[in-house]
Amino acid sequence: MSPDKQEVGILTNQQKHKLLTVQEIPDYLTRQLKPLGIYEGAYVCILRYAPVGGPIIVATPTHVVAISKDIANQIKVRTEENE
Amino acid sequence: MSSTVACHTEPNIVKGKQTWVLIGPPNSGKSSIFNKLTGLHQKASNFPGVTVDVVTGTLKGSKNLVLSDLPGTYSLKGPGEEVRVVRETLEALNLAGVVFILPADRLESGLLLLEELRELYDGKIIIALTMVDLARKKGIHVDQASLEKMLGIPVVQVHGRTGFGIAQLQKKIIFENLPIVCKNCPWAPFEIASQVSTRHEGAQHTRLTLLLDNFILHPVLGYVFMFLVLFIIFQAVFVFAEPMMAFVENLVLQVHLFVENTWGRNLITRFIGDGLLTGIGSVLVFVPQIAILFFLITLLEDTGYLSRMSVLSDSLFRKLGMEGLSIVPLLSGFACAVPAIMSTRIIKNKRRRLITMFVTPLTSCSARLPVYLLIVGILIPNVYVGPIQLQGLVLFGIYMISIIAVLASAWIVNKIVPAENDKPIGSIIELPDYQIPSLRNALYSTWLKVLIFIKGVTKIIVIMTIILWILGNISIEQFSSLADGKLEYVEPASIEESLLGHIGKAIQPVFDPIGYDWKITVGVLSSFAAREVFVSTMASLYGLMDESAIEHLHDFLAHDEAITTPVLLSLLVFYIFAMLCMSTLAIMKHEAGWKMVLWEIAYTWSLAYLFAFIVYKASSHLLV
Repeated sequence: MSPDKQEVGILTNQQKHKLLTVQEIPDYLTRQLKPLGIYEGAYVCILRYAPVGGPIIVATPTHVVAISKDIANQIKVRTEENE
Repeated sequence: MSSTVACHTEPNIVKGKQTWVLIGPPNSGKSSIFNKLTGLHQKASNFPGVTVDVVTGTLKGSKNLVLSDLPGTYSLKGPGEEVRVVRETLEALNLAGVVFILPADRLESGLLLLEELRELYDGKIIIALTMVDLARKKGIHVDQASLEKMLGIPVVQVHGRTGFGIAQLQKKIIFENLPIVCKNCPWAPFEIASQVSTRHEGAQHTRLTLLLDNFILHPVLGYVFMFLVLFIIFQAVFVFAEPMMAFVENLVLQVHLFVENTWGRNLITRFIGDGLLTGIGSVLVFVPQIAILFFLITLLEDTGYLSRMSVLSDSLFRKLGMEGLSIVPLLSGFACAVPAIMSTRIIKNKRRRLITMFVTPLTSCSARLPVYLLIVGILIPNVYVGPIQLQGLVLFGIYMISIIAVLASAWIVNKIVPAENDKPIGSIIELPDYQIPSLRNALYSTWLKVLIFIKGVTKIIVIMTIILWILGNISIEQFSSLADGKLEYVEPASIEESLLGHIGKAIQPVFDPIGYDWKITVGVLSSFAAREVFVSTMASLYGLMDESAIEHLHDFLAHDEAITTPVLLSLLVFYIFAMLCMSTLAIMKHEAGWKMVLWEIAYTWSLAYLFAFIVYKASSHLLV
């Protein structure tokens, strides 16, 4: 993996079915998200966007979790261009 | 709006007996294992100040072992009612042991929780490995022997629905001399998980789940299906409960008749029949609705559909301080607010639950319909405007006003009541795999909810029914002769002579600005028994004695000069908004405490009075 083509952004704006690495999570969310497989360094991928501005449905290695946008906005992820 | 009712000072744990607790993450099959281990002998208890139930039962095959089902949680640290209950139970009680529920398809999160458990608790632990068949479907294999070896904790594979492994787990709890878990041994949950299990890539969901979600979370079909499900729930609570409710009412009537036939018709038997038995009847009459609603909710929860429903309706309700699942109580409220308020239990977040509960009585329940029909029948002629029946159109309008009142009130409360912190209050909803629900589990859970309801509201409803009966049937003279100890036969007083009649006349000035004479005031006060009682009270105030005469009430009211169109409009508006039902009050007190009830009455009555005033004044002005 070459680090030069990495792009960092918030989870909300990512494409579906693309492998993402969790880069940063606010402290107060760590405890809630870690058991669901969302922690710094973990791989996640967006499965679908729920209709009418609803939550984002994210697959982690172990779970499928729906995360509302205000929370997804605070999760920083990076895309790996050269997987 | 928070509640601080202390029901018990500590969880319902039986003294002198050994207590084991069940701990595990949500969606791990914990409750169905608990049901298999204990059977029907369960009790639910509230922790002080929280709304989470802790269910306790005796382990089958042992009289001295008590088992407590603690709420499912991912963590033992941080905020949240579930977390607090589990942590306090662990710290406060001298536990005999913990049955730890570990879902095989989500080992990592289970082991994270186990790690936190070991920091807090250093007694005996048995692991019940669940969801093994589901894990297999996802291509996950767990090596039970090496899991046992690495953790140093005995592992039993169990299946909640079929009962596989339950006997073995039971034996281990009762007989085996279990090793005490090492508190300070270092271990890494994620490492252990990867060493004892093998998994395929992308094994989060089964193929069936992925397939079903394409349909169930579809932007169009998903909502069509959701409305179908909600429609079935509503129909079931509204229609299917009807014959059962009629049966309960008839049963109470038969006992009532039996009492009067045996001991004659006097003040005492009338007190027993109209006061006490009617009070018990008004509790039991809600049981069918509560049972049906919770049976369906548990089935939906166990299939995994409830969390999808939450996702689909999340964005709308979130803006109003509620959440996706608020749609279940709000919809049920149109049938009856009592089961609806109880069903807010599916909302785990306290603030969102309380806001939902607060606005639920504004939904127009079915008991208000007779009042609406009476008033609309007098006000609006039975004519068609094109294809539309005018009375029907007005009724539709009434329901629309009710919906707007619900949404607007939630919006207002959400703005006014400060959130616990300024962090975004977004949702994180786990989407579990779809599973076949266990009928037995749903029945157990329904039974428990019915018990909680009966235990929680009977006292207050019976007391209030008796008070209302005394007020409505005894005159001041009779009351003073009773106080002198004279218990001779007395006919119940007419409503006008009764205490209620006097109270109505005394407080009528309060209702004068919205146009009510003392008769309507008495009718409104009597609605506390149940809203539809307004109709029969009005009937007896106009001297109409038997049931069939209620039909003539329409004519009486229409020809009474005191009852003008503005008065009727004002009354209609008052009934749309005001919480006027002691059963709603009782269940709300049980679920959230007196403070909530007082806020509810203050809010809905102010709203009702304000709008009734506006409508009365405006229409008086326009129509004269």
